[in-house]
Parts: sequence; structure tokens; C-alpha cells
Amino acid sequence: MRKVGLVVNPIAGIGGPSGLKGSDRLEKVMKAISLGYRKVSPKRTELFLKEFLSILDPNQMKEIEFLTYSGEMGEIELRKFGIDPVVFGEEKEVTTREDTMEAVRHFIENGVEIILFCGGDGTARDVFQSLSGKETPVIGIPGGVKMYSGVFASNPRDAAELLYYFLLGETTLVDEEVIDVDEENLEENPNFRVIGYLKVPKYRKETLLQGKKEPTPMEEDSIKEEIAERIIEEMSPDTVYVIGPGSTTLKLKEKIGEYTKFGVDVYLNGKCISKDVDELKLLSLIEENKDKEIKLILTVVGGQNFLLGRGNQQISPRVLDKIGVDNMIVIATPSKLRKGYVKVDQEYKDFFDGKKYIRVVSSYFEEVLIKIDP
Amino acid sequence: MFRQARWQYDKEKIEPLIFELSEEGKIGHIIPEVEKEIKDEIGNPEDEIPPNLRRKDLPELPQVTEVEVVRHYTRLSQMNYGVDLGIYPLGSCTMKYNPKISEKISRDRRVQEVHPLQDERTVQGSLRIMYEFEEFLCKLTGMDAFTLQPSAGAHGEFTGLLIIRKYLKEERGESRKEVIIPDTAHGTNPASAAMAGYKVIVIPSDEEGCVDIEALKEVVSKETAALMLTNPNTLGVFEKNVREISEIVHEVGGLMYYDGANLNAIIGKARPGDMGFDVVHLNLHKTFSTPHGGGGPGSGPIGVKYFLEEYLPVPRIRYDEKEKRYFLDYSSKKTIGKVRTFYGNFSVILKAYVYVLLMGRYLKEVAELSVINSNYLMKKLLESGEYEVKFKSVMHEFVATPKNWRAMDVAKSLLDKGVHAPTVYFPLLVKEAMMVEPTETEPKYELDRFYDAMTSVEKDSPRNTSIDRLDEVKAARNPILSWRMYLEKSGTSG
Repeated sequence: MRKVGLVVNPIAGIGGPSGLKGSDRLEKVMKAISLGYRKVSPKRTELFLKEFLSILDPNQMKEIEFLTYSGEMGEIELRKFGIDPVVFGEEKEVTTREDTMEAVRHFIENGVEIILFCGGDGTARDVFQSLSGKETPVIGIPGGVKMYSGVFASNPRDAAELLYYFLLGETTLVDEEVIDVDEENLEENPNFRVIGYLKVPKYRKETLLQGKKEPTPMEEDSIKEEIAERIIEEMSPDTVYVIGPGSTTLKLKEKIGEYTKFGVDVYLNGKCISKDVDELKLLSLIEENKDKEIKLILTVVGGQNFLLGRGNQQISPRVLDKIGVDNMIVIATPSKLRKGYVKVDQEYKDFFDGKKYIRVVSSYFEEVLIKIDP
Repeated sequence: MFRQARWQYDKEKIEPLIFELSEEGKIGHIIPEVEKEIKDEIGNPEDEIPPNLRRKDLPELPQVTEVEVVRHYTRLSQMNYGVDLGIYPLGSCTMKYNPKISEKISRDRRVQEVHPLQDERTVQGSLRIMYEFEEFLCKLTGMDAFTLQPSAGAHGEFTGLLIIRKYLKEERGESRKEVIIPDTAHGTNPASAAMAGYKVIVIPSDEEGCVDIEALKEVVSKETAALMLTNPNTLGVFEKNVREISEIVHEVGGLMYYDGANLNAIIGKARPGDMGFDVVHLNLHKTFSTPHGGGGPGSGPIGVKYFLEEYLPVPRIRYDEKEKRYFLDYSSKKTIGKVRTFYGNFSVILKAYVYVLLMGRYLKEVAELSVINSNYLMKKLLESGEYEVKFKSVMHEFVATPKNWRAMDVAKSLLDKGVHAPTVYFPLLVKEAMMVEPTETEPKYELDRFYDAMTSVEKDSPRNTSIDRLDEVKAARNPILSWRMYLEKSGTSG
């Protein structure tokens, strides 16, 4: 039997229509539900299941066992399609993040091959935290309001296809960023940070198969390695390098020396001089090193191709102003650049006035000119 | 219904490798003993071979009979598919029919038996063919000089870039570092540029599938050594701003490189030399109808404008008016040197030479028909409602995306209907891309057969082919390309 975990955060997505921007605050959610706002993610999950069953032939379905959580957290949706899942937990009127985490822990204990979840960034974070370092692959079915993390398929249909190809063994696993948002302060002081990486399957035909006219494709990891080699070769002495978070910059930091997995780290002459710095610390470091050249190395983070403002907010507009856009080096693997553009948050837009493109280092030999926020 | 031959060897295996047919002691021919009279005269003939050239061990050849060899290869040929069997619409590969007359002439004894080290006075015919062919290519491309040395398109690219590099260094004392390449380019372009020591800058395409002029302007600089451009590009779109592009690149002192992969669409109609290109490479195995075979032998001649001529590889083939003879000229001081032993793939060059003479003034119609065929198919596929084509004003090829299937599923299903699949998942800027180039040699009914196959896709293909679905990822990641590799990987060789 192939074991697949499915967990739905049924209140994810409700923050959108109800103007909450997210569903992290329980009392607000309760109110939204009582006001009659419709739940989004159960519907999305049903769409996903419908697609998945249409791809699969019934014989293949016999080989798959779904593990899920009670009620609307997966059980109801699965039963609607005649699937008899292994169910954990008790049905509740209002579910919390604890339930999601509990579900994931059960999935792991029971040895699932892959976890499907439907929700938004908050749900991704819950899944990440409850995996506590385990590298079980994950596919996010988009069902939330905020989905800056890179773990989401573009729609329920793609999620279904991805699961299908994963089960056939036609996918390869790629590290994708989980981006955390603190909803309490969303309006006054939004804080989008990379808080972790999850293994996400990608269709191999697109990432690994060599087309007749393209160069031999490489594993995502080798490309990151190449990019890191190039950047290190091009590093100058007595120059301060501020390196942002992301799975591509992580490889670079690993090669230089000490680092934090999710934070902004600062390097000078091949050594880490400050780890996991916030905006204020960065500003003071810049001040201290006024006499030196300062370079900023960033990568595109998450699923929405943000270069600045989502996932690396330590690099605030004030910081960017001090370092200067011309001292910014952008690195990213070709799979991150497929969309053909990168985004910057509103408050950074002035820095790119009149600039339609930026150069992105995408391999040892190659740079790609990419559109900024079309 | 199409059903490909499947020669079953035993329950599990289809036609084995010839090495697997080998049995100790089996032979094909018995070589007669050397007659006594001869032996008396010269002694043991084997002693004629100097000891240092003699084999110490027997070669590890398969031991098989003649009838086994003939049957084996005949069976393999039946389990194969080629342009002699039907349409082969691999985009940007120009898999057109190869006239048999070219094959016949290239097998002539006078071609087969010449040796490249023969005195040039005894190979005047061969030299003349190459000399005249260079002239044909100059006329067809609007360039001033050609070399026939490179053995493939990518080899031509590499040669061209070395010429550009040396020119910039010697003539201007510059070491520019960057080569600009559009995102629709063949993968060989960035690879060649990297091989020649350049950093590659990839620029995006605009809404029409052409080079994004603004992006180009943003990226050109004193570091720009060259722009490499395929025209029409791999979307089948003619770069209508090519003159402006040339000006932008020339203005900063860069050179223009033409990738001739798609020359078929414009041959006899427009010339890269007139578009502002300084270096071009052609693929004789595409436009000039010589066979594509297992990665070769191909031929990728390059042409240059007058100011680069001295940098071409040596020897050049020249004609001495006074002596009335052709000769090999090694005298150039600025040459980049040789890029290949001897003078190029002569038999391929000869086939292309025959092709040009064969087509004569009808060469223009090659371009016309290739464009008509591709547009006919594109319109039909669009009308079927089953495909989308993002860039519609195309020439000899187009890139379609299936609405209801993965490109890979369509490709596999085509095989089941006896049709070769187009190039898939390229160019990368089109999702689920299927790049179709029917070429001018396909008749209408064959195009319709392809259309029918494209619009009756079936799941879980192929089933009617000699071999069903392959593990392509494994094949790409862990290739076993020879018997020796097979023995090494399976651990059966010492």
C-alpha cells in the first residue's frame, strides 16, 4: 500500500472574503463563520480529489491508502468521493493549528510517503513545525489567503497531477521556502520571514529530462552549488557581503562558513561576522563598515517570486537605501525564474524606478535578464 | 493500425545486442591459406607488419555467422523509424528527406578511396568541390569567406566564437567577457559561449516572441563580445527587428553571430549577411539535406565577413589562376588554427554540394514550401481546438501546447500511430511545448496523417512500438552507451 496523508485546514481561506487577511485569530474566525462566510479550503480539496481520481485508474486507487483527520479536516471530503480513509482525531466545530500539527504527527508515525495539505502560509508553517526536521515530501493545495511559501501547487488540478507523478516516481524533490507571517501585526508591522524549507516534488519531465535543444538539465542542488562557486570566486577582499535567506543563498552560505538556515547573515573576507541580523543590527553594521564596499546577495523566495518584501524583510527599504540597488547581486535557479519575472513589495518600488529588468545569476556561466514586477 | 516490428528473442528479451549473440568458435568467413608460391616468395605475410604494430591479444569482437549479422541488422532496421518511413517533425532539427542521389555519389570509389594525406595535385576534384561549395555558401548567406572544417553546428559555434575572441583581442586589444543570447536559443549557444570562455547573459523575448529590444539595450555594454541569434528563432518567428538589433550590438562594438539552424525557412529569400551578421554557421545536415545520424557525421561550416577572414582555421582552399590548380593554403598568420583534423567531413560536404546543384533555382521553393507546410499544420491544429499556439506568425515551425494533455503524453501517443514526435519541452518559455517542423519534403497526406495522430491522443502509450515506455530519466541520468559500459556497470567485466 502507498500511504498518503491529507490534512485540510477548513478555516484557511476564510480570511479573504471576510477581510481578515488570514485565519490565525480564532475569535475573528468564529465571527466570520457565524456571519456565514463560506469555507474555501474544503471545496479546494474536493476539486483536488476530483482531479486526482480522474487521472488515476481504479486499479491504481486500490494501491493507495489515505490517512487523514476527522471531520472537515479531510475525512468528510474523502468520503464524498467514496474513499475510506484511516482517520485520526475527533471531529470539532472549530479546528485549530494544534489539530493540523496533531494530524501531521500521526501521518509520520504511520509512515506516509507524502503529505498533502490544503490551506495557506499558516498551515504550511504548522506542517513544517510538526515535521520537526523530517524530510517527508509535501504538496500544498492552495486554499489560504496568503500563500507566499513555495510549497503550493498553482491550483488543485496541478496538485493532483503532482501527486500522481510523485506516486509514479516521476518527480524529483526540491527545497522550497516556508514563509511565515505574523497576522496579529499584519497591518501595522507585517513581518514576512523564511522560517524553514520543505521538500516539494516537481515533475521530472520539466526539470530533469533533457530536451533535444536544451543543455543537459541538472539536479536543482547541483545548480545551486554552481551558482555558489561562481559567487565565491567573484567575491572581493575587504568587502562586506550581506546574504539573505532562501534555499539558493543557503547553499552559498554553507560553502563560505558559519550561517543560519533562515536568517540574514553577514560575511567579510570569507568569515561570518554576524548571524541572523535584523534591520537595526544591519543598519549599525553598515554604519560600522562605512569605509568598505558593501554587497547584498539575495534570491527569489517563496512561490510568488518575491525578491524583496516577502521572506526577507530584514532587508528593509532603509537597509537597501544604505547599500544601494547597484550593489545587489541576485541569484536564483532557472526553475525559480520560469515565471519570467520577480516581484518587489510596494515599498521597494522607488528603488527600481525606470528599471524594467535585473540581472540574475542562474548558473556558473549564465546570467538571466529578468523583468521586475510586470 | 500501426504496429512496429518486435523481434522477440525469448520471453523477456527482444532482439539482443550482437555481443549477446556471440558464441565461442562461430565464424562468418574462412580466410584462405596463403598459397605456397607466395609464401616462398615473401615468407610469412604477417611478418610484413612491424612487431610494434601487431596485436598482442585478439580483438574482443562478437563471434557470429554472416547470416546472423545480416538478420540482426535487418531486424533492428525494422524496429527503427526514420525519415524514409514517414514524417519526422522534430522542431529546429529540419529532418527532411535526404535524396538518394547524394548518397550514391558520395559512395563513388573516387570519393571513398581518397586519402586526406594524398598530394593535393592528385585530389584536384575534391578540392574543387570544396572550393565551389564555399562559394555557393557565400552567395547563399551574403558572407565573404567560409571554412568547411567544423563537424557540427555546435562545433561551428565554438569556432565562430574563437574567431570573434581572437579578432577582438588582436585587432582592438579587448578582452570582452559577455555573450548575449535570447531565451529562445538552442542550448548549444550558451554551451559554446562558455566553452570559448565567455559569460552568458540570457535576455527575454517580447510578446511577439522576438528579442526584447529594451532588454537588449539594457544589457549591451563594452563587455559585449557578441550576440548569438537564430533567425527565424525556435518559435518559428522571424526576428523582424534584426537590423535594429545588429545596430545596437555593433554600436557598443560587439559582433553579430548567426545560428543557421533555421536557415531552411529563408534560404534563397533572405541572407544573414544582409541582416548585419558578422559570423554564421550552417548545418549541412539540416538545410542541405544530408543525413542526421546518431549524433553525426554532421557538418557545420562557418562563414565570416571580410574583416574576419584571416582568422578562419587553416588550411584554406584556394585556386591558383596561373597554375590552374587548387591548393591548400596554410599561410594565414592570424588564424585561430585548426579545429579538426584535415578538412571537414568531406562526404557530407559532397552530399550538400550535390543537393545544391540538384535543387538549382528551385532552392527558393524549399523555404516557401517549408513555411506553407508548417502554417497549414498550425492552422489545422488551432482549428481542432485541442492546441494553443501562443506565437502565431510563424515560418517553418511553430510551438503548440496541448490543452488536454501533457506534451509527453501526446508525444508517446504519436509513436503508437507511426509518427515521430516533435521536439517537446522546448523552448522553455512555452509551457508544455511541442515544437513542430514538418519541412518542405512532406506531402499533404502525410501532414494530415500527423494531424490525425495529434488529435486522437490515447493514454498509456506507446503500446504498438518495438519498445514501450522507457525510463527516460534513468536513460538521461545513467546512460549505457556501449557494450563495454554495460559490462562495467553490470559488474561482469574484470
